[in-house]
Amino acid sequence: MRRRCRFIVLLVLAVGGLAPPAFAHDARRIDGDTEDGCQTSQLYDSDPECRGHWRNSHMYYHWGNEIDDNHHAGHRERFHDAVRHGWVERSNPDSPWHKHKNSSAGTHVDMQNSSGPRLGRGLVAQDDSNAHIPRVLELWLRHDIADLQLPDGTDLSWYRGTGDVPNDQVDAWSAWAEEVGHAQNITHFTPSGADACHVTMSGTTCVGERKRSPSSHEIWHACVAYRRVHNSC
Amino acid sequence: MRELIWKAKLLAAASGLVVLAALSSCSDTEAPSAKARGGDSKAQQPVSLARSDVPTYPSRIVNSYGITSTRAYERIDRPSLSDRPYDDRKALHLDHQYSFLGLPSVRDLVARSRLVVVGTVLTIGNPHFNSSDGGFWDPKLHDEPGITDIAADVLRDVTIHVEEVWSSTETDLANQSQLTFTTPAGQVDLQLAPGVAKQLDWPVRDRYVLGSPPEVDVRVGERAVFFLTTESLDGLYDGRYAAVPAITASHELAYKFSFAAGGLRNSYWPGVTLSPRELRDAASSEILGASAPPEPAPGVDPADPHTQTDGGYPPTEADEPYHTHGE
Repeated sequence: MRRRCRFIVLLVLAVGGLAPPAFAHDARRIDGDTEDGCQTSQLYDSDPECRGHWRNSHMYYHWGNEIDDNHHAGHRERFHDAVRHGWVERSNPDSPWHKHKNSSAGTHVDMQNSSGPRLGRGLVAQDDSNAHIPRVLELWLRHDIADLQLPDGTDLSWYRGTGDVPNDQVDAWSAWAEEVGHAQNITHFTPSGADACHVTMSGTTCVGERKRSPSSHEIWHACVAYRRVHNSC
Repeated sequence: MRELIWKAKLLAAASGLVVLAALSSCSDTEAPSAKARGGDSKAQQPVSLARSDVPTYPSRIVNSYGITSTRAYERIDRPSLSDRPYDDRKALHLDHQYSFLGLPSVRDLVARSRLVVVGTVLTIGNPHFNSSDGGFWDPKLHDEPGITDIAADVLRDVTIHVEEVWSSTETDLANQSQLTFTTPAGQVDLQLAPGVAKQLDWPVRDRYVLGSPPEVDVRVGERAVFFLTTESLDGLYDGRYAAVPAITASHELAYKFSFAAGGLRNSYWPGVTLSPRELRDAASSEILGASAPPEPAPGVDPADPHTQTDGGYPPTEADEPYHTHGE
Protein backbone atom coordinates (compact mmCIF):
# COMPACT_ATOMS: atom_id res chain seq x y z
CA MET A 1 0.00 0.00 0.00
CA ARG A 2 2.71 2.40 0.98
CA ARG A 3 4.70 1.65 -2.09
CA ARG A 4 1.71 2.06 -4.30
CA CYS A 5 0.91 5.43 -2.85
CA ARG A 6 4.45 6.67 -3.29
CA PHE A 7 4.30 5.78 -6.91
CA ILE A 8 1.14 7.74 -7.38
CA VAL A 9 2.62 10.76 -5.64
CA LEU A 10 5.53 10.79 -8.04
CA LEU A 11 3.13 10.62 -10.91
CA VAL A 12 1.31 13.65 -9.58
CA LEU A 13 4.49 15.66 -9.41
CA ALA A 14 5.46 14.66 -12.89
CA VAL A 15 2.34 16.17 -14.34
CA GLY A 16 2.67 19.37 -12.39
CA GLY A 17 0.35 18.78 -9.50
CA LEU A 18 -2.90 18.24 -11.28
CA ALA A 19 -4.17 15.68 -8.80
CA PRO A 20 -7.45 16.63 -7.15
CA PRO A 21 -7.10 17.95 -3.60
CA ALA A 22 -8.97 15.02 -2.08
CA PHE A 23 -6.36 12.62 -3.40
CA ALA A 24 -3.55 14.68 -1.98
CA HIS A 25 -4.77 13.83 1.51
CA ASP A 26 -3.36 10.33 1.10
CA ALA A 27 -0.29 11.56 -0.71
CA ARG A 28 0.52 13.92 2.10
CA ARG A 29 0.47 11.16 4.65
CA ILE A 30 3.32 9.28 3.05
CA ASP A 31 5.26 12.24 1.79
CA GLY A 32 8.88 11.86 2.76
CA ASP A 33 8.91 15.03 4.81
CA THR A 34 7.24 13.67 7.91
CA GLU A 35 8.62 13.57 11.37
CA ASP A 36 8.60 10.59 13.65
CA GLY A 37 5.04 9.89 14.76
CA CYS A 38 3.57 12.59 12.56
CA GLN A 39 -0.12 12.01 12.17
CA THR A 40 -0.55 14.47 9.37
CA SER A 41 -4.27 14.12 9.26
CA GLN A 42 -4.48 15.58 12.75
CA LEU A 43 -3.14 18.88 11.50
CA TYR A 44 -6.09 19.18 9.20
CA ASP A 45 -8.62 17.96 11.66
CA SER A 46 -10.76 20.94 10.90
CA ASP A 47 -10.40 20.37 7.19
CA PRO A 48 -10.30 16.60 6.94
CA GLU A 49 -10.49 16.51 3.17
CA CYS A 50 -7.80 19.16 2.89
CA ARG A 51 -9.81 21.30 0.58
CA GLY A 52 -8.66 24.66 1.84
CA HIS A 53 -5.80 25.96 -0.21
CA TRP A 54 -3.80 29.07 -0.71
CA ARG A 55 -3.78 31.74 -3.34
CA ASN A 56 -1.99 34.84 -2.11
CA SER A 57 -4.25 34.58 0.88
CA HIS A 58 -5.08 37.63 2.87
CA MET A 59 -6.57 37.87 6.31
CA TYR A 60 -8.37 41.12 7.05
CA TYR A 61 -8.81 41.74 10.74
CA HIS A 62 -9.92 44.41 13.16
CA TRP A 63 -9.26 44.94 16.84
CA GLY A 64 -12.00 44.15 19.31
CA ASN A 65 -12.95 46.72 21.93
CA GLU A 66 -10.85 45.24 24.72
CA ILE A 67 -7.54 44.77 22.94
CA ASP A 68 -7.92 48.13 21.21
CA ASP A 69 -7.57 49.86 24.56
CA ASN A 70 -4.24 51.60 25.24
CA HIS A 71 -3.21 49.33 28.06
CA HIS A 72 -3.19 46.34 25.71
CA ALA A 73 -0.66 47.84 23.29
CA GLY A 74 1.77 45.11 24.22
CA HIS A 75 -0.65 42.43 23.11
CA ARG A 76 -1.25 44.20 19.79
CA GLU A 77 2.47 44.39 19.20
CA ARG A 78 3.00 40.73 20.02
CA PHE A 79 0.18 39.79 17.66
CA HIS A 80 2.05 41.65 14.92
CA ASP A 81 5.27 39.84 15.85
CA ALA A 82 3.55 36.46 15.86
CA VAL A 83 2.21 37.05 12.38
CA ARG A 84 5.27 38.75 10.94
CA HIS A 85 8.16 36.82 12.43
CA GLY A 86 6.34 33.60 13.08
CA TRP A 87 4.38 32.90 9.95
CA VAL A 88 4.62 35.51 7.19
CA GLU A 89 8.40 35.73 6.99
CA ARG A 90 8.87 31.97 7.28
CA SER A 91 6.29 30.97 4.73
CA ASN A 92 6.56 33.81 2.22
CA PRO A 93 7.15 34.08 -0.67
CA ASP A 94 6.56 30.43 -1.46
CA SER A 95 3.31 30.31 0.41
CA PRO A 96 2.32 33.93 0.52
CA TRP A 97 0.15 35.05 3.36
CA HIS A 98 -0.67 38.57 4.43
CA LYS A 99 -2.68 40.35 7.06
CA HIS A 100 -4.37 43.70 6.80
CA LYS A 101 -6.00 45.78 9.48
CA ASN A 102 -9.36 47.04 8.40
CA SER A 103 -12.11 48.35 10.65
CA SER A 104 -14.78 46.61 8.61
CA ALA A 105 -12.86 43.35 8.36
CA GLY A 106 -14.35 40.00 9.19
CA THR A 107 -11.75 38.64 11.63
CA HIS A 108 -12.20 39.81 15.18
CA VAL A 109 -9.00 39.88 17.25
CA ASP A 110 -9.60 40.56 20.92
CA MET A 111 -9.18 39.53 24.53
CA GLN A 112 -11.98 37.87 26.46
CA ASN A 113 -12.64 36.44 29.90
CA SER A 114 -13.03 32.70 30.10
CA SER A 115 -12.91 29.73 32.48
CA GLY A 116 -10.78 26.67 33.06
CA PRO A 117 -7.15 26.50 31.92
CA ARG A 118 -7.93 28.07 28.54
CA LEU A 119 -5.53 30.71 27.26
CA GLY A 120 -7.06 31.48 23.90
CA ARG A 121 -9.33 30.45 21.10
CA GLY A 122 -9.72 30.60 17.37
CA LEU A 123 -13.11 30.40 15.71
CA VAL A 124 -12.65 29.04 12.23
CA ALA A 125 -15.41 28.80 9.63
CA GLN A 126 -15.14 25.91 7.25
CA ASP A 127 -16.86 27.20 4.18
CA ASP A 128 -17.20 25.36 0.92
CA SER A 129 -14.50 23.26 -0.62
CA ASN A 130 -13.09 26.14 -2.63
CA ALA A 131 -12.22 28.25 0.39
CA HIS A 132 -8.72 29.60 -0.15
CA ILE A 133 -8.25 30.15 3.51
CA PRO A 134 -10.77 29.22 6.11
CA ARG A 135 -12.68 32.22 7.29
CA VAL A 136 -11.21 33.06 10.67
CA LEU A 137 -13.95 34.78 12.56
CA GLU A 138 -12.25 35.22 15.90
CA LEU A 139 -8.86 35.06 17.51
CA TRP A 140 -8.66 35.91 21.17
CA LEU A 141 -6.43 35.51 24.17
CA ARG A 142 -7.63 35.29 27.72
CA HIS A 143 -8.04 38.55 29.53
CA ASP A 144 -8.58 37.23 33.09
CA ILE A 145 -5.43 35.12 33.13
CA ALA A 146 -4.98 36.11 36.79
CA ASP A 147 -7.63 33.49 37.60
CA LEU A 148 -4.93 30.93 36.86
CA GLN A 149 -2.33 30.37 39.53
CA LEU A 150 0.96 28.69 40.24
CA PRO A 151 1.08 26.09 43.03
CA ASP A 152 2.44 28.73 45.39
CA GLY A 153 -0.69 30.80 44.84
CA THR A 154 0.92 33.41 42.56
CA ASP A 155 -1.53 34.76 40.00
CA LEU A 156 -0.40 34.30 36.43
CA SER A 157 -0.04 37.22 34.04
CA TRP A 158 0.91 37.75 30.42
CA TYR A 159 4.48 38.54 29.44
CA ARG A 160 4.10 41.08 26.67
CA GLY A 161 7.76 41.66 25.94
CA THR A 162 10.15 40.18 23.44
CA GLY A 163 12.86 38.76 25.71
CA ASP A 164 13.03 35.81 28.06
CA VAL A 165 9.82 34.91 29.77
CA PRO A 166 9.75 35.20 33.57
CA ASN A 167 8.94 32.05 35.53
CA ASP A 168 5.58 33.34 36.66
CA GLN A 169 4.29 34.62 33.33
CA VAL A 170 2.91 33.25 30.08
CA ASP A 171 4.38 34.46 26.80
CA ALA A 172 1.84 36.48 24.80
CA TRP A 173 3.90 36.22 21.60
CA SER A 174 3.84 32.41 21.80
CA ALA A 175 0.11 32.28 22.51
CA TRP A 176 -0.68 34.60 19.59
CA ALA A 177 1.59 32.52 17.35
CA GLU A 178 -0.55 29.49 18.03
CA GLU A 179 -3.84 31.29 17.50
CA VAL A 180 -2.59 32.71 14.22
CA GLY A 181 -1.55 29.20 13.27
CA HIS A 182 -5.20 28.23 13.40
CA ALA A 183 -5.72 30.81 10.67
CA GLN A 184 -3.44 28.60 8.60
CA ASN A 185 -5.98 25.81 8.98
CA ILE A 186 -3.66 24.01 11.37
CA THR A 187 -5.00 22.37 14.50
CA HIS A 188 -3.08 20.97 17.45
CA PHE A 189 -0.24 18.54 17.05
CA THR A 190 2.91 17.66 18.98
CA PRO A 191 5.39 15.32 17.30
CA SER A 192 6.23 12.20 19.24
CA GLY A 193 8.98 12.91 21.74
CA ALA A 194 8.78 16.68 21.34
CA ASP A 195 8.29 19.04 24.26
CA ALA A 196 4.81 20.52 23.87
CA CYS A 197 6.00 23.67 25.63
CA HIS A 198 8.20 24.44 22.61
CA VAL A 199 5.92 23.39 19.76
CA THR A 200 3.95 26.31 18.37
CA MET A 201 0.82 24.32 17.50
CA SER A 202 0.90 21.97 20.49
CA GLY A 203 -2.28 23.40 21.98
CA THR A 204 -0.51 24.44 25.18
CA THR A 205 1.62 27.37 26.24
CA CYS A 206 3.71 26.83 29.36
CA VAL A 207 4.64 29.24 32.10
CA GLY A 208 8.08 30.71 31.55
CA GLU A 209 8.52 29.09 28.13
CA ARG A 210 8.55 30.28 24.51
CA LYS A 211 7.28 28.75 21.30
CA ARG A 212 7.30 31.78 19.04
CA SER A 213 8.59 30.31 15.80
CA PRO A 214 6.70 27.57 14.01
CA SER A 215 8.89 24.63 13.16
CA SER A 216 9.78 23.67 9.63
CA HIS A 217 7.24 20.88 10.00
CA GLU A 218 4.51 23.33 10.89
CA ILE A 219 5.53 25.65 8.06
CA TRP A 220 5.47 22.63 5.77
CA HIS A 221 1.89 21.99 6.72
CA ALA A 222 1.04 25.63 6.23
CA CYS A 223 2.48 25.22 2.77
CA VAL A 224 1.07 21.84 1.84
CA ALA A 225 -2.14 23.06 0.38
CA TYR A 226 -0.28 25.76 -1.54
CA ARG A 227 2.25 23.28 -2.75
CA ARG A 228 -0.45 21.01 -3.99
CA VAL A 229 -1.68 23.72 -6.31
CA HIS A 230 1.52 25.57 -7.14
CA ASN A 231 4.03 22.75 -6.85
CA SER A 232 6.41 24.74 -4.72
CA CYS A 233 7.21 25.68 -1.09
CA MET B 1 -21.54 -37.80 22.57
CA ARG B 2 -24.43 -37.39 24.93
CA GLU B 3 -22.02 -36.20 27.53
CA LEU B 4 -20.65 -33.67 25.10
CA ILE B 5 -24.12 -32.45 24.23
CA TRP B 6 -24.99 -32.25 27.89
CA LYS B 7 -21.84 -30.27 28.63
CA ALA B 8 -22.54 -28.02 25.67
CA LYS B 9 -26.04 -27.37 26.97
CA LEU B 10 -24.65 -26.72 30.41
CA LEU B 11 -22.11 -24.34 28.97
CA ALA B 12 -24.77 -22.61 26.94
CA ALA B 13 -26.94 -22.32 29.98
CA ALA B 14 -24.07 -20.96 31.99
CA SER B 15 -23.28 -18.53 29.21
CA GLY B 16 -26.87 -17.48 29.16
CA LEU B 17 -26.73 -16.78 32.82
CA VAL B 18 -23.59 -14.76 32.37
CA VAL B 19 -25.26 -12.79 29.63
CA LEU B 20 -28.23 -12.14 31.80
CA ALA B 21 -25.97 -10.99 34.57
CA ALA B 22 -24.13 -8.71 32.21
CA LEU B 23 -27.37 -7.24 30.97
CA SER B 24 -28.43 -6.72 34.46
CA SER B 25 -25.29 -4.91 35.43
CA CYS B 26 -25.57 -2.86 32.29
CA SER B 27 -29.00 -1.66 33.21
CA ASP B 28 -27.68 -0.71 36.62
CA THR B 29 -24.93 1.44 35.25
CA GLU B 30 -27.26 2.96 32.71
CA ALA B 31 -29.79 3.99 35.31
CA PRO B 32 -31.35 7.36 34.55
CA SER B 33 -29.42 10.32 35.80
CA ALA B 34 -30.45 11.73 39.10
CA LYS B 35 -30.25 15.21 37.59
CA ALA B 36 -33.31 17.01 38.79
CA ARG B 37 -34.63 20.30 37.73
CA GLY B 38 -35.73 23.11 39.93
CA GLY B 39 -34.98 23.45 43.56
CA ASP B 40 -33.12 26.26 45.13
CA SER B 41 -29.87 26.67 43.24
CA LYS B 42 -28.53 29.30 45.63
CA ALA B 43 -26.56 27.52 48.30
CA GLN B 44 -25.94 28.73 51.79
CA GLN B 45 -22.46 29.93 52.60
CA PRO B 46 -20.03 28.29 52.08
CA VAL B 47 -20.98 27.31 48.55
CA SER B 48 -22.17 23.75 48.37
CA LEU B 49 -21.39 22.18 45.07
CA ALA B 50 -23.05 18.87 45.83
CA ARG B 51 -25.22 19.64 42.87
CA SER B 52 -28.16 17.38 42.32
CA ASP B 53 -30.06 20.06 40.47
CA VAL B 54 -27.82 20.73 37.51
CA PRO B 55 -30.06 22.33 34.92
CA THR B 56 -31.06 20.31 31.93
CA TYR B 57 -31.80 22.09 28.71
CA PRO B 58 -34.36 21.33 26.01
CA SER B 59 -33.08 20.14 22.68
CA ARG B 60 -34.58 23.16 20.94
CA ILE B 61 -34.10 26.60 22.44
CA VAL B 62 -35.57 29.73 20.89
CA ASN B 63 -34.33 33.14 22.02
CA SER B 64 -33.84 36.56 20.50
CA TYR B 65 -30.64 35.47 18.76
CA GLY B 66 -32.08 32.45 17.00
CA ILE B 67 -32.83 28.78 17.37
CA THR B 68 -30.36 26.43 19.04
CA SER B 69 -30.99 22.77 18.37
CA THR B 70 -29.32 19.62 19.67
CA ARG B 71 -32.03 17.17 18.68
CA ALA B 72 -29.62 14.91 16.81
CA TYR B 73 -28.05 14.00 20.14
CA GLU B 74 -31.27 12.39 21.28
CA ARG B 75 -30.84 9.69 18.66
CA ILE B 76 -27.49 8.57 20.06
CA ASP B 77 -27.79 5.37 22.08
CA ARG B 78 -24.57 5.47 24.01
CA PRO B 79 -23.35 9.06 24.18
CA SER B 80 -19.76 10.18 24.25
CA LEU B 81 -18.33 13.65 24.46
CA SER B 82 -16.87 13.29 20.99
CA ASP B 83 -20.23 12.72 19.29
CA ARG B 84 -20.60 15.03 16.30
CA PRO B 85 -23.97 14.26 14.74
CA TYR B 86 -24.02 17.50 12.74
CA ASP B 87 -21.21 16.81 10.34
CA ASP B 88 -23.25 17.40 7.22
CA ARG B 89 -21.92 19.91 4.73
CA LYS B 90 -25.09 21.88 4.26
CA ALA B 91 -24.36 24.13 7.20
CA LEU B 92 -21.43 26.47 7.76
CA HIS B 93 -19.24 24.80 10.36
CA LEU B 94 -17.68 26.99 12.99
CA ASP B 95 -15.09 25.21 15.07
CA HIS B 96 -13.76 26.45 18.37
CA GLN B 97 -10.07 25.72 18.68
CA TYR B 98 -8.86 26.35 22.20
CA SER B 99 -5.34 26.67 23.48
CA PHE B 100 -4.49 25.88 27.07
CA LEU B 101 -2.06 26.52 29.86
CA GLY B 102 0.58 23.81 29.74
CA LEU B 103 0.60 21.12 32.39
CA PRO B 104 4.15 19.99 33.14
CA SER B 105 3.36 17.03 35.39
CA VAL B 106 0.78 15.00 37.26
CA ARG B 107 1.73 17.02 40.31
CA ASP B 108 0.51 20.17 38.57
CA LEU B 109 -2.75 18.38 37.73
CA VAL B 110 -3.18 17.50 41.41
CA ALA B 111 -2.51 21.11 42.36
CA ARG B 112 -5.33 22.29 40.07
CA SER B 113 -7.76 19.71 41.50
CA ARG B 114 -10.09 19.78 44.47
CA LEU B 115 -11.49 16.28 44.03
CA VAL B 116 -10.10 13.04 42.64
CA VAL B 117 -12.54 10.16 42.24
CA VAL B 118 -12.92 6.79 40.64
CA GLY B 119 -16.24 6.74 38.88
CA THR B 120 -18.39 5.46 36.06
CA VAL B 121 -20.08 7.74 33.59
CA LEU B 122 -23.85 7.59 33.90
CA THR B 123 -25.08 10.24 31.50
CA ILE B 124 -23.80 12.97 29.20
CA GLY B 125 -26.17 15.84 28.63
CA ASN B 126 -26.87 17.55 25.33
CA PRO B 127 -24.64 20.48 24.39
CA HIS B 128 -25.69 23.89 25.61
CA PHE B 129 -24.26 27.38 25.89
CA ASN B 130 -23.01 29.04 29.05
CA SER B 131 -26.21 31.04 29.47
CA SER B 132 -29.37 30.94 31.55
CA ASP B 133 -31.48 29.31 28.86
CA GLY B 134 -28.61 27.31 27.37
CA GLY B 135 -29.28 28.90 24.00
CA PHE B 136 -26.93 30.67 21.63
CA TRP B 137 -25.43 34.01 22.50
CA ASP B 138 -22.26 35.88 21.59
CA PRO B 139 -20.38 38.74 23.27
CA LYS B 140 -20.62 40.78 20.08
CA LEU B 141 -24.38 40.83 20.64
CA HIS B 142 -24.19 41.92 24.26
CA ASP B 143 -22.94 45.20 25.60
CA GLU B 144 -22.11 45.93 29.19
CA PRO B 145 -20.02 49.09 29.37
CA GLY B 146 -17.02 48.69 31.62
CA ILE B 147 -17.22 44.90 31.70
CA THR B 148 -14.78 42.76 29.74
CA ASP B 149 -16.49 40.47 27.26
CA ILE B 150 -16.92 36.85 28.29
CA ALA B 151 -16.48 34.04 25.79
CA ALA B 152 -19.55 32.07 24.68
CA ASP B 153 -18.83 28.35 24.96
CA VAL B 154 -20.59 25.15 23.98
CA LEU B 155 -20.61 22.85 27.01
CA ARG B 156 -21.80 19.41 28.06
CA ASP B 157 -22.55 18.04 31.53
CA VAL B 158 -21.17 14.64 32.52
CA THR B 159 -22.73 12.81 35.46
CA ILE B 160 -20.65 10.12 37.11
CA HIS B 161 -21.40 7.54 39.76
CA VAL B 162 -18.69 7.97 42.37
CA GLU B 163 -17.23 4.61 43.29
CA GLU B 164 -14.39 5.85 45.44
CA VAL B 165 -13.03 9.21 46.54
CA TRP B 166 -9.26 9.28 46.47
CA SER B 167 -8.86 12.79 47.75
CA SER B 168 -10.89 15.91 48.30
CA THR B 169 -10.50 19.36 49.76
CA GLU B 170 -14.22 19.67 50.41
CA THR B 171 -16.29 17.36 52.57
CA ASP B 172 -19.59 17.92 50.82
CA LEU B 173 -18.09 16.89 47.49
CA ALA B 174 -16.48 13.83 49.02
CA ASN B 175 -19.81 12.60 50.36
CA GLN B 176 -21.66 12.56 47.06
CA SER B 177 -22.50 9.31 45.31
CA GLN B 178 -23.03 11.19 42.06
CA LEU B 179 -21.37 14.25 40.62
CA THR B 180 -21.88 16.30 37.49
CA PHE B 181 -19.02 18.17 35.91
CA THR B 182 -19.15 20.54 32.95
CA THR B 183 -16.67 20.69 30.08
CA PRO B 184 -16.52 22.20 26.56
CA ALA B 185 -17.72 19.70 23.97
CA GLY B 186 -20.34 19.05 21.37
CA GLN B 187 -22.05 20.78 18.50
CA VAL B 188 -25.18 22.86 18.22
CA ASP B 189 -27.26 23.37 15.11
CA LEU B 190 -27.94 27.06 14.83
CA GLN B 191 -30.39 29.18 12.88
CA LEU B 192 -29.78 32.86 13.51
CA ALA B 193 -32.51 35.45 13.79
CA PRO B 194 -32.60 38.01 10.96
CA GLY B 195 -29.75 40.50 11.13
CA VAL B 196 -27.75 38.60 13.72
CA ALA B 197 -25.21 37.18 11.28
CA LYS B 198 -24.41 40.67 10.11
CA GLN B 199 -23.97 41.90 13.68
CA LEU B 200 -21.54 39.04 14.23
CA ASP B 201 -19.63 39.58 10.97
CA TRP B 202 -20.42 35.98 10.08
CA PRO B 203 -21.10 34.83 6.53
CA VAL B 204 -24.86 34.77 6.11
CA ARG B 205 -26.14 31.22 5.97
CA ASP B 206 -29.40 29.38 6.67
CA ARG B 207 -27.71 27.10 9.19
CA TYR B 208 -24.55 27.01 11.24
CA VAL B 209 -22.98 24.22 13.25
CA LEU B 210 -20.99 25.59 16.13
CA GLY B 211 -18.88 23.76 18.67
CA SER B 212 -15.71 21.84 19.23
CA PRO B 213 -14.52 18.30 19.77
CA PRO B 214 -13.44 17.67 23.35
CA GLU B 215 -9.77 17.35 24.12
CA VAL B 216 -10.50 14.23 26.20
CA ASP B 217 -13.25 11.85 25.23
CA VAL B 218 -15.59 10.33 27.78
CA ARG B 219 -18.40 7.90 27.06
CA VAL B 220 -21.34 6.54 29.00
CA GLY B 221 -20.43 3.40 30.89
CA GLU B 222 -16.75 4.25 31.05
CA ARG B 223 -14.95 3.78 34.35
CA ALA B 224 -11.98 6.04 35.01
CA VAL B 225 -10.19 8.23 37.52
CA PHE B 226 -11.37 11.84 37.23
CA PHE B 227 -9.50 14.93 38.40
CA LEU B 228 -12.06 17.64 39.07
CA THR B 229 -12.21 21.10 40.54
CA THR B 230 -14.72 23.80 41.40
CA GLU B 231 -14.83 27.23 39.83
CA SER B 232 -17.03 30.06 38.66
CA LEU B 233 -18.23 29.32 35.17
CA ASP B 234 -18.40 32.57 33.22
CA GLY B 235 -21.30 33.23 30.89
CA LEU B 236 -24.43 35.25 30.24
CA TYR B 237 -26.78 34.65 33.14
CA ASP B 238 -29.95 36.56 33.97
CA GLY B 239 -29.22 38.87 31.06
CA ARG B 240 -25.77 40.00 32.16
CA TYR B 241 -22.18 38.90 32.31
CA ALA B 242 -21.90 36.71 35.37
CA ALA B 243 -20.65 33.38 36.68
CA VAL B 244 -22.25 30.38 38.32
CA PRO B 245 -20.57 27.81 40.56
CA ALA B 246 -19.72 24.58 38.83
CA ILE B 247 -17.69 21.41 39.06
CA THR B 248 -15.36 21.27 36.10
CA ALA B 249 -12.48 19.23 34.78
CA SER B 250 -9.24 20.25 36.50
CA HIS B 251 -7.53 20.52 33.15
CA GLU B 252 -9.40 19.87 29.93
CA LEU B 253 -6.44 18.08 28.37
CA ALA B 254 -5.59 15.73 31.21
CA TYR B 255 -8.39 15.21 33.71
CA LYS B 256 -9.03 11.53 32.97
CA PHE B 257 -6.89 8.49 33.71
CA SER B 258 -8.16 5.36 32.01
CA PHE B 259 -7.83 1.85 33.33
CA ALA B 260 -5.63 -0.14 30.98
CA ALA B 261 -3.51 -3.24 31.03
CA GLY B 262 -0.73 -2.59 33.48
CA GLY B 263 -2.23 0.44 35.18
CA LEU B 264 -3.69 3.88 34.52
CA ARG B 265 -2.98 5.96 31.46
CA ASN B 266 -3.60 9.53 30.41
CA SER B 267 -3.73 10.70 26.80
CA TYR B 268 -1.86 13.89 27.74
CA TRP B 269 1.16 11.88 28.86
CA PRO B 270 1.30 9.00 26.40
CA GLY B 271 3.79 6.34 27.24
CA VAL B 272 3.31 6.87 30.97
CA THR B 273 1.53 4.18 32.98
CA LEU B 274 0.93 4.59 36.69
CA SER B 275 -0.27 1.94 39.08
CA PRO B 276 -3.45 2.79 40.99
CA ARG B 277 -1.36 3.05 44.15
CA GLU B 278 1.08 5.50 42.54
CA LEU B 279 -1.68 7.69 41.17
CA ARG B 280 -3.66 7.58 44.38
CA ASP B 281 -0.59 8.58 46.39
CA ALA B 282 0.00 11.47 44.00
CA ALA B 283 -3.64 12.52 44.26
CA SER B 284 -3.44 12.52 48.04
CA SER B 285 -0.54 14.93 48.08
CA GLU B 286 -0.72 18.01 50.27
CA ILE B 287 -0.51 20.04 47.08
CA LEU B 288 -4.11 19.14 46.22
CA GLY B 289 -5.94 22.34 45.35
CA ALA B 290 -2.87 24.57 45.69
CA SER B 291 -3.42 26.17 42.27
CA ALA B 292 -7.11 25.45 41.87
CA PRO B 293 -9.25 28.28 40.51
CA PRO B 294 -10.71 30.80 42.97
CA GLU B 295 -13.57 29.36 45.01
CA PRO B 296 -16.85 30.18 43.32
CA ALA B 297 -19.38 32.48 44.90
CA PRO B 298 -22.92 31.20 45.46
CA GLY B 299 -25.67 31.70 42.91
CA VAL B 300 -25.34 34.01 39.93
CA ASP B 301 -22.34 36.21 40.58
CA PRO B 302 -22.22 39.33 38.36
CA ALA B 303 -18.92 40.11 36.67
CA ASP B 304 -16.73 42.77 38.22
CA PRO B 305 -16.06 45.99 36.33
CA HIS B 306 -12.86 45.90 34.35
CA THR B 307 -9.96 47.53 36.14
CA GLN B 308 -7.24 48.73 33.87
CA THR B 309 -3.75 47.67 34.77
CA ASP B 310 -0.76 49.29 33.22
CA GLY B 311 1.33 46.55 31.69
CA GLY B 312 4.33 48.81 31.28
CA TYR B 313 4.18 48.67 27.52
CA PRO B 314 3.14 52.03 26.17
CA PRO B 315 2.64 52.10 22.42
CA THR B 316 6.04 52.39 20.77
CA GLU B 317 5.00 52.03 17.18
CA ALA B 318 1.88 52.65 15.19
CA ASP B 319 -0.54 49.84 14.69
CA GLU B 320 -0.05 47.87 11.52
CA PRO B 321 3.69 48.54 11.34
CA TYR B 322 4.29 45.81 8.84
CA HIS B 323 2.54 45.03 5.66
CA THR B 324 3.80 42.91 2.84
CA HIS B 325 2.71 41.77 -0.52
CA GLY B 326 4.29 38.59 -1.78
CA GLU B 327 5.33 37.91 -5.31
